[in-house]
Amino acid sequence: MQYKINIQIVFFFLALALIAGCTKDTITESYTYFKPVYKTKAQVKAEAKSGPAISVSNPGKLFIKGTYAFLSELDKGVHIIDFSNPATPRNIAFVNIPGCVDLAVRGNYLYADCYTDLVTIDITDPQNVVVKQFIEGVFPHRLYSNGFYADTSKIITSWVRVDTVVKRRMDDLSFFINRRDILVFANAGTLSSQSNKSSVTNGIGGSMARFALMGERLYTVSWNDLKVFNTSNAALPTYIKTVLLTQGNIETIFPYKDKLFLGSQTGMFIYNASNPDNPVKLGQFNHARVCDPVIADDAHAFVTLRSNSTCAGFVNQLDVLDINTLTAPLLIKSYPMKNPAGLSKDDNLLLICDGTDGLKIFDATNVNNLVQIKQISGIETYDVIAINGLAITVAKDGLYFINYSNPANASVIGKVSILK
Amino acid sequence: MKRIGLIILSLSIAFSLSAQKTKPKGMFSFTAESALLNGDNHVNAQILLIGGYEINGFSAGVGSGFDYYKYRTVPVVIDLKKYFGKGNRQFFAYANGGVDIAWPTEKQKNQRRNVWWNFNSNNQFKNGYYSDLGLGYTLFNSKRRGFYTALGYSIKTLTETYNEEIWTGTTSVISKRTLEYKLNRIVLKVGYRF
Repeated sequence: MQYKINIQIVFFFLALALIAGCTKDTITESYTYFKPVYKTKAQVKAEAKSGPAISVSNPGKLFIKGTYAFLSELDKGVHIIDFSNPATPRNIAFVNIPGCVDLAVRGNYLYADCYTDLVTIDITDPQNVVVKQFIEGVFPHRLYSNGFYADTSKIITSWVRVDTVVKRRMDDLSFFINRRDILVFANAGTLSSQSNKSSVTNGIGGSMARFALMGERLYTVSWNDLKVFNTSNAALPTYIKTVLLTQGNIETIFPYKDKLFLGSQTGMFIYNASNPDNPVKLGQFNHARVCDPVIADDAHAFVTLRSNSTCAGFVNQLDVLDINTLTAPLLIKSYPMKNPAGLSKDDNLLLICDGTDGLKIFDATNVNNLVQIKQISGIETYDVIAINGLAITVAKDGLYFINYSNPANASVIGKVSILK
Repeated sequence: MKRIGLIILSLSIAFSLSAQKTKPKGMFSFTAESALLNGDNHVNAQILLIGGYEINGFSAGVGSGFDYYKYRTVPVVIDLKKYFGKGNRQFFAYANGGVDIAWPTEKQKNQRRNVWWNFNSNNQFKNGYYSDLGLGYTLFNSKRRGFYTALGYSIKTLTETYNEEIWTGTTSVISKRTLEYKLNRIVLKVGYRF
């Protein structure tokens, strides 16, 4: 059989040869990475100073002192908000503290973390604060993900977002691993201050806090340690010691009388701080892996368990514990919640930030039968400090001032908006 | 993509010119094809069903099937063939082109989901294009029914997007990653025309 080789066949072979040169699969990949902006420690210290009020955009922890709310702006500093008239709260000043996440206020002094340092700032005049002291290197270097290594001789003060497009071979798995200098995703409250005998009074922290004041001591928790600072000279605190917390996963600290309640992703831990310089573990209560702020009173601890991307887990509930025997806390009852975070207690009222369900107010007279009195809906709440009928609540879109003097008719009376 | 378009257009014109020279004598056909897809460190399979019409050494049809190379997709194609020579043993050239509908398996849909935490990466796939060019040889009977085999080169594309969470030390930032896949394979196919 003889075939005529015509022009179409020749043309086709040429075309096939043209495009068939490669069977490498390719990916055109669009993604975002973050490039660190470094500053020297001297530069960072020089930037810790007061400035005019700025809009709240990325709020963190909340602390109350008198009629002032101190709200951290993550990595930037601390907003000072005057709520002497809660209906018209005023954002009066901003203290620039690079790397600030947590804070506490004692007397006229603000304690805050400045990356790895503890900074003490005199806030007598919020518009003209004075840096009193840095205690260097008391906090651990930050943990980053995906193989990023920070230059620890300097401080990362911000990140530059870079959107990029690359074309690569599909099976090239070394693509991300070779970049250690950028951060990229690889496929890889209630009342925390205690009555103290000194004339200098402590402020009130939220239940999500990592800083807690108890008498003349400042306690701070990191991932796996508890640090003790002596603040008897409020202007010049001194570092005392570090207590290693081998269980790790520590998220929050709540002081009650001479006890410290630590919330972790896997349980609640009770420390005896009757010797304030040497807290000793008394007991613990284990639970499933979730986020876990905790508050307590004389007989009970209230623990909210929240699942999210940071803490994982699949549990969203309030656990009420019997802590009459501090060495062996017992679960009394669990109450299902939406996505609970910070909580606060005022006498028999229990206030819980329940994510998109808003703020819930319960009558906690009988812990076996918590009765919801009121729900403030329409706000996504994160943390709350309840004090004398006023719930100062951090929400996704603002700092809310909620009057719960009459709990059944609790309502928002003021707000400082968050500008994204 | 432009190159493939030009080639398909050229082939279409060539086939049309060729068809005009002879007396039309057409027949409907139904074809089932299975193919071995050999690509970049990966081998998988494809099946296609094509309904078409042949006239004067040229056939055109529409087909669809399943393509399992790396990501499960459903190509929906226009199929063109030009047969060379006479008789039932013929060489032919073919060109397929069309849409590649993304139909990922559950495993493929969830491959970006981080199992340690409960983060919803919200994987989504978008359709791409499909093309296949090659040469074949028929083993038809006197009614032009029977087996044929072919060797070609195929490209399929699809796009995947998903959210990823980057921890900057104090906050998580959610950003979107887009992956535009271009998958290139040598195709060895066996078909049967009914």
